[in-house]
Amino acid sequence: MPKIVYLNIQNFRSIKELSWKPNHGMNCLIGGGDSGKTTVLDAIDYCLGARRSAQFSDYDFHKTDTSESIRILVALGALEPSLLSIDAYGDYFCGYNPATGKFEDEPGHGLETTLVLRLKVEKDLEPQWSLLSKRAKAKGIERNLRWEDRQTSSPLRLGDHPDWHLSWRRGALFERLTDEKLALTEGLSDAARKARADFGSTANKELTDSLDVVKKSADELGVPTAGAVHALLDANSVKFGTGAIALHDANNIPLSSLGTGSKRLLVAGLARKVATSASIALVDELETGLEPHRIRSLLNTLGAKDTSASQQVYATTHSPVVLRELNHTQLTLLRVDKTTGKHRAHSASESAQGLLRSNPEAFLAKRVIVCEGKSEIGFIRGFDQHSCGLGNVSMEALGTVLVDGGGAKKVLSPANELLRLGYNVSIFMDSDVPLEAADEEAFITGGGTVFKWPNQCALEDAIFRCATGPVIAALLDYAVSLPNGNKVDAQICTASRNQFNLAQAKNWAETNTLQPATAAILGQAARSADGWFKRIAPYEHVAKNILAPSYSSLHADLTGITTALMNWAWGHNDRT
Amino acid sequence: MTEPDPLQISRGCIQAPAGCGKTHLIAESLKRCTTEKPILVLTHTNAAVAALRQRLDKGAVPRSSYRLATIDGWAMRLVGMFPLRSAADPSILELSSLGTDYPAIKRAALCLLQGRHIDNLLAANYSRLLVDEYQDCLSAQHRIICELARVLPTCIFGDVLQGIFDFGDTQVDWNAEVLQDFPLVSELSTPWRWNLAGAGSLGQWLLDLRPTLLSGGQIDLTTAPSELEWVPIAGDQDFEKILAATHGMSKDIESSLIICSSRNRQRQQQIAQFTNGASVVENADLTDLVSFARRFDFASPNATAELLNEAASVLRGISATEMMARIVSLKAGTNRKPATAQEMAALSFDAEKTPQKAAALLSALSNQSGVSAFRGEVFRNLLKALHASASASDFADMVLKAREERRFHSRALGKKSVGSTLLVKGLEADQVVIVDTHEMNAKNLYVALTRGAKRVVVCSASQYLPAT
Repeated sequence: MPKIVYLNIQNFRSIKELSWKPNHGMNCLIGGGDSGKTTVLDAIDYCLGARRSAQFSDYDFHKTDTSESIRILVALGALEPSLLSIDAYGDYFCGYNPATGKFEDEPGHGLETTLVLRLKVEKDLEPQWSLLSKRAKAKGIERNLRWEDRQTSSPLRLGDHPDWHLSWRRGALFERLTDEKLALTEGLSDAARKARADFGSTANKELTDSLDVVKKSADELGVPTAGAVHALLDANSVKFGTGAIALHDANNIPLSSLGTGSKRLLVAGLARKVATSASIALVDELETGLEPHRIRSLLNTLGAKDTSASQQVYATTHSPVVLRELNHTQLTLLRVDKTTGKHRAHSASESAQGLLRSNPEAFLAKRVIVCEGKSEIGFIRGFDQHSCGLGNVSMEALGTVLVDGGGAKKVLSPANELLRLGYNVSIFMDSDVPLEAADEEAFITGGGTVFKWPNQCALEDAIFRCATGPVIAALLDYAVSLPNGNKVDAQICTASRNQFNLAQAKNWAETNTLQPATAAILGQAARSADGWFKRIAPYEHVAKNILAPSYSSLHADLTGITTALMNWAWGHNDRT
Repeated sequence: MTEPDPLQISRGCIQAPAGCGKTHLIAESLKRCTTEKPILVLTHTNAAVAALRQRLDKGAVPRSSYRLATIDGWAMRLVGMFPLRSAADPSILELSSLGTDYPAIKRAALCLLQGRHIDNLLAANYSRLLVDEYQDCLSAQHRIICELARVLPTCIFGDVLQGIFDFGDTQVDWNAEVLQDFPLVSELSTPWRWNLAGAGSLGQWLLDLRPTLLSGGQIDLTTAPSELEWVPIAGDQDFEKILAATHGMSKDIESSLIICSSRNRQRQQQIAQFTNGASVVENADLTDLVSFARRFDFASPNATAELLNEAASVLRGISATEMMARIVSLKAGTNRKPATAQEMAALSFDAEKTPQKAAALLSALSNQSGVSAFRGEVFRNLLKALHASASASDFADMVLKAREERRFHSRALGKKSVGSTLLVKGLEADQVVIVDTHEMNAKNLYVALTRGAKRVVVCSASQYLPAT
């Protein structure tokens, strides 16, 4: 069954240019709004769809510039016998080398035989489909796919109107399931005649006055009526066209009145049954109308879990539920290259796989902060919540996602992968177990940002060293109020080698007589094995209710980094 | 013996003596075949393609069930589609020098196939391969077929005794090459051609003499059944007896093939000219017409004489010299006898030498009573080319065009046709009259003897043939 091995789009809607080698099975497109995901689906649909014409307008041209033609080029591989016809396409076959990704002018041993189809629209808005081949051009010949081949390679679009496929009409899945034929015309005509006969002169009785007026006028004007005027069913309006036969359930409710999600699920299932004739599926917003478990059903039906997929699927999504189910090879990120203005399709690599399972939201974000652990996540969220309370837009609404890196040693790999895929990425971590200098350098050179505390310290160290007495007192109170609060005293004693305890520390803090060395020891105690705040919620509270309200009193070693970090989270320093 | 089924043969040869229903077997196989993909059927000449297609159409074989071509034509098409993989110089496809281009095309096709560049396409396009007239294969063609047989189930048909083309060592060797690569599966053994014509004993006699001919022995014409008539002649100049034999056509005979020397084309024309109603079977290249077209100069002062000479070489009942003398005197105004319609046409051409006037002259000549064409194909194509020429400069091209068109039509035989074994191979008639047996070896003799379905007439000095 034909599959797209290469796609090139030029000057079509939001896409100035895109070159892409999709994989043979599931291709899930993600990217920010207006990144051209649906444009890609439309391009495939226009280029391969079995339509004799298509309506184009100036708006279909990139930036409505009609001086450059729209060109959509699709190289089809995995050709079925009818597409391998020497008689029809001998002058048009090309060879594709999957190992190098290079095309050769002719098919060859060890190469995949392909046909290259191009849709071109110039400013006359007339779409022209043709097969591309240098040797055909040299011979001065040109042709399109045969109509029957266009029909078999026509993609199935799972869009907003899946109802279409649930009626018996040419090209609909219902009609393509088996070879069964429905001798429609005669039976339907009989049904129409019967309807007319059954209805008979029912209307006459209710319209006697009106009919009289008509009869009288006709007689006066000498218009022949053969003696009477009747109100009967109009044969022209009782006529059944294509789609008159549609699927219904046991209660005679049309299946087209199912929910969008159910309909799409059913249609996708049917498409799999006719995978012989619908080998390419286009799915807009895969998650539409489906609960998470049914999203998994749909993905299974589309062959996302098959190792050798019979169907090639192009889907768009905005749902982390979808992403969590995917293999990294099935994910493609669309981005516009700022310098060239061209689109690029980025494929996720193996190092994205863990992130796909644990934090699929990251792939749907504009900005990602890879945090060393839960403490850092809570810390940022707390400041964000405080800012929201003041009426500002939240970081989430601005498209920033926080990812738990799972420890200082593990932050770099997901951060680098996201950076490669073109996201705004920063790392927020302690500096007591620093990154390798070369790694950090490379990350920053690549466009990443690292937020870490000065002087090789951890988050707790930074907070306690930079906080004033009343703030430290509040931190101690809060620590004690937490479920492990009864251990705080012992932890302070241990950290201070029994030089002081909780009560003494609190007293110094309240009286603002706490020595910096003492504050440092409290920091150590706070990050001891059963850390005081080392979860998301406690740190949210610390940041939101304790640090943020007294922000101006905090030392610059804390606020400098924090301010920069939060500005970054709110998108003040985006690179793309 | 039950008939073999070509559709069951994955790689093999069916030996097919003349008239034993080979074409019927091919047609029936194609008709029976239910696979989605067509069967590729290859043969040697365009005429054979046309003849086979006509047979298949007549047998209501759907055209979608097969693809029919000559080996060279098919090879040429593939080389044209994949010049890079064929490593071919594209100019060979223009066929400007036939002697080197055809071999080059075969080499290119072999390169394409040996490189396995289109194995998948072959397998996707054809369900199997049948090759007809395999004994006529050149070694290069045999290698092409062997490559195809690597991908497609292949059955070849042939008969070593009908291998009368001789291109020296480039010809495929039947025993050493063909039967090694395509093991003999079956030999057809029912003489359908003669059985159907009510001459079964002649058919059986022709089958029975095969071992003798194959082993280099002589056959004795006097042992033949009554359908064969031996006309003893004194020698090849014994025109009285020879022309009596070529004229003769009994009531039940509708068509007669007269077979003369392969070496001497003058001889064929001579026999045709003096046999009423006979016409020469022309070769595929229409050599004489093409050389006339290249030679003929409309502007020449001798153009009228040359055109009349050409007419006389294809029409019987015309004297070019007499007519020329009349034209000269008519032009000079020294002749009182008024000009005939033909002479008017000749004068008209002489005054204005255009292809249209030439065509008018030829038509006028052929429309006289007592005039008929003994080289009908040359005459018709000459007329066709003249009609198609807008000006004198088009003429040579139009002749070539007519020749190329003719390649793709099957040859319809007239009532009496004169040709050589090479030209009549694959054709059949009710009666065959064999004239120049002294020039025929065993294979030529076998081909000649098997052309007549009802009656065979052999003009020969000796009753033992082939002559030693």
